[in-house]
Amino acid sequence: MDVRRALLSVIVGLAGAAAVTASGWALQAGALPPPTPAARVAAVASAWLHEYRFVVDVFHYDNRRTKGACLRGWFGRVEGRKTRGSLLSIDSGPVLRISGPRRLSLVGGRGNGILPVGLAAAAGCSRELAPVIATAAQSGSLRASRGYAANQPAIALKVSRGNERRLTLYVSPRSYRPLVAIVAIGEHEATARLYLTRVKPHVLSRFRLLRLVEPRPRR
Amino acid sequence: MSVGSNTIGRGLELSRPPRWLLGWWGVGRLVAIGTALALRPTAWTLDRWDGRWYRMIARGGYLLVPGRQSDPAFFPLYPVLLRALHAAGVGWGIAGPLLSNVALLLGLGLFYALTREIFSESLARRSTIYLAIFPLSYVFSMTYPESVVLVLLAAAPLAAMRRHWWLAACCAGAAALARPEGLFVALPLAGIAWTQRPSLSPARRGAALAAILAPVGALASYSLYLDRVLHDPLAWSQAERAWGRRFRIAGAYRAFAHLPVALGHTPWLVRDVVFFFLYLALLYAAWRLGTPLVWLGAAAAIVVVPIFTGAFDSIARFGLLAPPLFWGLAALTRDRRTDRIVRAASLVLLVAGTASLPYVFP
Repeated sequence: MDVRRALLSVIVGLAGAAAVTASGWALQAGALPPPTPAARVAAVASAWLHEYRFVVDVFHYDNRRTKGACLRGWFGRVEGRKTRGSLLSIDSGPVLRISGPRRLSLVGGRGNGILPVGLAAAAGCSRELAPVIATAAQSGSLRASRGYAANQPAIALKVSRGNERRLTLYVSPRSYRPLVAIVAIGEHEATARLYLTRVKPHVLSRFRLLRLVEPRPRR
Repeated sequence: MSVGSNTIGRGLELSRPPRWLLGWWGVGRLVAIGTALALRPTAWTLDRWDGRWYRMIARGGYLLVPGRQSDPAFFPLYPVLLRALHAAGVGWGIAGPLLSNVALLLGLGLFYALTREIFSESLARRSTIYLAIFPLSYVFSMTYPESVVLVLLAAAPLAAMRRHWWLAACCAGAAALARPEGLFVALPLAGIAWTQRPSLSPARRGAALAAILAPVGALASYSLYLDRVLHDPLAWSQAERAWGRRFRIAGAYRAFAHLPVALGHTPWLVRDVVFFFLYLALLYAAWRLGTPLVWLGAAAAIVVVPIFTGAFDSIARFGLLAPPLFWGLAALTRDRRTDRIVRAASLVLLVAGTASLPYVFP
């Protein structure tokens, strides 16, 4: 008899806990909106950019085509302290360290005037692109539409940051991997075909970045 | 009044809040809101930090952005209430502070009733006043869920003590849907169920078991919901990691070992470290007072478990949801002079705490 009473208590208790679970779920499902498809796509695209710290770019600006590469990480400074940022190398042009908005410093090469470096960094560096896309996804200030980029159908994610700055990121419709970024600042517009790649010494060397990331020998 | 609210009212036998309680609630809110408005004459000060995230969830739902701080780290009940308030015509910026301040009045009333049932009227009165004007109590006026959780954390054991176990189950579940600290209410509920055990019918025992399991059930419902909308049942844990919070056995050691470096980066952290040790002292005072062990266990969990994430951040705020800390404080102020000193010091520190809001998160 005692066993039956105890069993009854356990069954009532478990049923009650299950009811709390079910009603909690129903409350959330009924009261909170699901994320928009555009926000979901942008979140995954941001994760791609977060995962890959090295991007090989093909820039198009003012009807001219130039290659470049951008590497995210911690880099040494003149005073010896390491700082987080990106190294952007533009083919036969400058190599720049970008350690924050409007904080660019020349660390190699020479300016060739082919491509504005601010536009190149905004379009071709994962460290610059990822937060813009993620913030837009989280704040809902994002539009998605069908498009065509990199010789394939794509999803276009459009972000406006004020009147002056616009970003359109084309992503693969299957994996949401970023393909092309178009950044417009005022009247200037640059396009970057993005190749997210693993960091390989020969590619770093090809873009004059290897010596900037290699640890210096201790004296 | 609706049938539902009648049932709740009968379950908790709520009466009009006493005048002194209304008065101290008013004093506390006047000081906190007045200081916030003096800093900037808008709701900005009270609606910032985590408030932005709660508002974001209320407006657009959850979204996990891997590797980046994102909103699944914030539990869903408060955004649901914000959304309901907004649907009733209240603006987003005002909804949070309005909800929190009103909920605090109800929470103080329930806390007073609960404390009176466990201890004496005088101790209940003192501890309720301290809670109303505690230095960190400006959080109760912000777009933060602490006020709502206080209501539920006081209502659940109070309903259980009055043998309204189904109501206790609802409150305990709702508490866990609002803040992870809600999980620990299961401990006092288990203690109350154990003491009532001989006199409970099998069905009531089942309801008591449901109340003890309700916080876990509610947490499971959150995971199931996240699985549905984000395809990741542990999205909340993943989002916590982007804030640098990750539970590890060695987390407590890391919190102490990295403290000098952390203080170098964020000198404000000294506030949380001081309150951590103050809370431990108050727990000791609560133990000396004769607070039931299950309550002490729940409060210790609220204060100590967060340091297993490797940091002291926000522990001062977490302590607001541990009633034994305020019982311990009230136990130390039996003479009038000490009582007055604590009240005066609390009010001064409340002003200072609110004034720190533009610089540091609570």
